[in-house]
Amino acid sequence: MFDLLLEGPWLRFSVLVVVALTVQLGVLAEVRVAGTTGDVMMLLALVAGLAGGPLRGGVAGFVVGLVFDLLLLSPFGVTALTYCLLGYALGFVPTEFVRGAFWVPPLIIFGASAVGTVFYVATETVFGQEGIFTPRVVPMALVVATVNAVLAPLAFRSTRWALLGGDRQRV
Amino acid sequence: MFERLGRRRTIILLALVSITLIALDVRGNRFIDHARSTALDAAAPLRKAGRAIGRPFANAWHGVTDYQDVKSENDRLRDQLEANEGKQISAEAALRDYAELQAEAKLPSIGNIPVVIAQVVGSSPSNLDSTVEINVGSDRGVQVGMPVITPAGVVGRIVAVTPDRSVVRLISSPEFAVGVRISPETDVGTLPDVTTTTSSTTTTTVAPTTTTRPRGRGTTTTAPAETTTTVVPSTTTTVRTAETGIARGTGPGNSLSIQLVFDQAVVEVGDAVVTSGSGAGTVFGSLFPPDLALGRVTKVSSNAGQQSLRVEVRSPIDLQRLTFVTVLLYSPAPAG
Repeated sequence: MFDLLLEGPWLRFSVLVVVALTVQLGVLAEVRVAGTTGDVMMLLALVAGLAGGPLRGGVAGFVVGLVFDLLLLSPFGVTALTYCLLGYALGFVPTEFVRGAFWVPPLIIFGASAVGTVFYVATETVFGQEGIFTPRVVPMALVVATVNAVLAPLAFRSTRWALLGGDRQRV
Repeated sequence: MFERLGRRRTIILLALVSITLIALDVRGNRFIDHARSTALDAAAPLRKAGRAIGRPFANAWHGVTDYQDVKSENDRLRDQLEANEGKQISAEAALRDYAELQAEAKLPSIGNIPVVIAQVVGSSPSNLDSTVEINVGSDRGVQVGMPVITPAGVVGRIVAVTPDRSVVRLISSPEFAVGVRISPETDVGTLPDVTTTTSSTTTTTVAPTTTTRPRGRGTTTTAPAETTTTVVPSTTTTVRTAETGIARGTGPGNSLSIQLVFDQAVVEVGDAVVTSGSGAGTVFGSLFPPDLALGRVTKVSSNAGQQSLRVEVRSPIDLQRLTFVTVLLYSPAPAG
């Protein structure tokens, strides 16, 4: 595990995590639509799966979620579990779709973010958070999906550069 | 290492690690608490840098989306200000009388609680946490559980503290609960909680009549006095008593919900809701002193199948536009 952490890709990915955290804490937290903000941390986990495959997506999602958990009040580990599974799941999207037309990855991210938000709320509810699984989840999922879809092209390229570097294959 | 393990086993391993961490946190783990505290401090420069970068975008966004709302609100507030100026005069007189009564009866007063003024430096990074971050912490005496207010009323409660920062759980959070008292809406100067019954009896007495005959012709006759008694029917004036319950948040932008109000309770739209300060040592309400404003009742409905009312309360505070708040350095007396 440690040899993987010290390799270039994960060092580059760490920088991406710091940048995403800065955007999430400082920019998106202040810009809300209907009381909802985007979730670039989830976006990072999703594009890690899309760009790097199921294994890298799962590990990256776990790391990103764990970092985010440190700053939230929800039970520690819920975000890590959710993002790990989301990154892993999105890694199974066929490579032909990923490298297809320019609008395909944002569309995939839109759908995955909407489903991922509902899954995240459901997971939080399972692990004891009360009163959050309400009809408000629907507009929340739409806002998160829209923001993530807009940022998806930039996030996808950055993550592919960080995780794949030169000729590495999706794993 | 992960490639040797295989995809499926790696994900299962990571999922098990996550569940283990969740179980540890739910039971309370000092290492996780310390890690969170350290992360909160470490993230402060990132938050500051992000806000500096994002402020122009946020201002542009709010300028486009909020302009009409701000204009309408400005008009409404001007009208409301005029209406409240008269009430304020009467209210100040009532507050003076109340403070004197408290002092005479040696009752605790919110005016005696030390406070710390704090600036809101960040909102919750997640859509599921209704929190804000403020720039005071344990080095100013702030502790977990302390109430946070503004001049308009209760904002929330401190849930995490570092030496120079704290996290406030807002009243809109489903995790927030506080004991409350619902006071009937009365004009300032009317005594609450009084039932008066009046009846009166009117007695009319007619003076005796004296008939006097001319001299030598006979006796003087005096008719007896006539007394008429009239009883005025009694009138009863009842001013509604305060009801108590537990108020909980229901999510950002939503009203608070009060439970444990029995269906015989008389609660009306417009009634004022304040903290009850009761239940010292219990989970609910004990961390707030009494008589802190929470809001006004906006809806009353019966819970189907249960002998209780569901009361919705709207806070006057815009929780998304907090700038400065006050932390009450208040610790309730222990139970028993």
